[in-house]
Amino acid sequence: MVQFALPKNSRVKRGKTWSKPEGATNLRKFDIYRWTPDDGENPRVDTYFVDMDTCGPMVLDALIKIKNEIDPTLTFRRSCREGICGSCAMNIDGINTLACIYGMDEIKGDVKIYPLPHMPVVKDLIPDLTHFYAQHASIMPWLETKTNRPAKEWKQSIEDRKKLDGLYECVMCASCSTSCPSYWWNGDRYLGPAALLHAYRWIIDSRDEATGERLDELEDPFKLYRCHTIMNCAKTCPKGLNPAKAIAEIKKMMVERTI
Amino acid sequence: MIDLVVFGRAAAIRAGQIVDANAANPVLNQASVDQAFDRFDGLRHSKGALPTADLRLEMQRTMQEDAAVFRTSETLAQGVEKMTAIATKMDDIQVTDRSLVWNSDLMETLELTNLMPNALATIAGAEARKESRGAHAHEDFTERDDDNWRVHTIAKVEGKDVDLSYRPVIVDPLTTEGQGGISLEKIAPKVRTF
Repeated sequence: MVQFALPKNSRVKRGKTWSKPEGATNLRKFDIYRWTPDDGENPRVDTYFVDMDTCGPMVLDALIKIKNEIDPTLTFRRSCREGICGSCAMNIDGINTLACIYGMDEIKGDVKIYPLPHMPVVKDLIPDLTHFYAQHASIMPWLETKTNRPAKEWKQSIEDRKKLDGLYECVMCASCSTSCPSYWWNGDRYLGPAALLHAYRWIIDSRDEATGERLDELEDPFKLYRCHTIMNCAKTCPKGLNPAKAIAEIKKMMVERTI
Repeated sequence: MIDLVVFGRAAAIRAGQIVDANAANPVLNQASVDQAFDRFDGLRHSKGALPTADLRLEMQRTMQEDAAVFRTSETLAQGVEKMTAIATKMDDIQVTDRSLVWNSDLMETLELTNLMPNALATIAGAEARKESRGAHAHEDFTERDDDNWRVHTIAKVEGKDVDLSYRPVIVDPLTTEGQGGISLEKIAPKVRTF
């Protein structure tokens, strides 16, 4: 039988409403998903109020402010605070994005923050990305060469280097893969947009000499062909990249090499 | 990042040569294991009055104010005094999260216990250095003083106390000019003017 409701222990309950900061006049309400493996309780949504007059403009600024001033147990990944490390990916206002480069002025009303969807949660806003990283590793994210090593370096023309634009910028934040319904259902075997974008990045690298093997590796009903061009990946990517296009290019190369 | 890649690779290759992968692990020094666990558990269960974020902010503000690039004898002396008082408050630290899973409250507290001696060493070392050099722009001693201050500061920090000593800068290159190294005249120390 199809199960339509979440299992009992996964239902998200109303959590604690934390008291408002004293003397603040410009408050904004934050509803944030909380769960810890320690107490056996269901996930809950806690409510916090942040004084916007003393807070930075980005969602991450508010999260750090909450952790510093209201609730030190709130747990989330963060590092560079400028959109280059990919740590703080989460679901904000229904969109998978990086908290550090998502401005609160882009959100109407209360700010709702959840972990990346459809991933096992380690704690609060931290998803378990073990499988996601293993998938990235499986596409051999490095230069594979067969010819003898050149005396100095592997050279690349300006035109060939340009082919990597729109691909190399990916910071592996997992926003795209976790926004993809196909990845939700078949994430165990479908590589997902992030890993496939990286696969394509190495396939079209003019210096790489393992294109055939790379394509062989992806020639599989699940790994590549579970992409149904839903385009959520391109819509959500916080870096403005288009994984769906990269996947389409791989599919094209698959066809081209058989005709 | 590139440093990590280059030196990390070199270190790994070297470790692969000198470490016997099949050898038994050496017996750990139980005293140091206990010390590490005491530190960890002590902080994890600390019930003081000062949240980590508050004390960290105090430290950051003080260092920003008194140990900025352009500093004076007065600000540095004031900074040493303030930082000593702030470091004392580490005993009253408050950790809220007791979890052993992704406990970033505890992580930040452990970080703070590392940052605090760094801040102390920085400001005490700067206060003692009566010259200007690089990012140590001392407005009461504006000149670089190679005669007296071509030395590394060695700071031993114990709690809030800083014990300063010095050792001369190593001026001899590993490869001498005779062996094909760079001429020392070319890299002779001199005042940088821009």
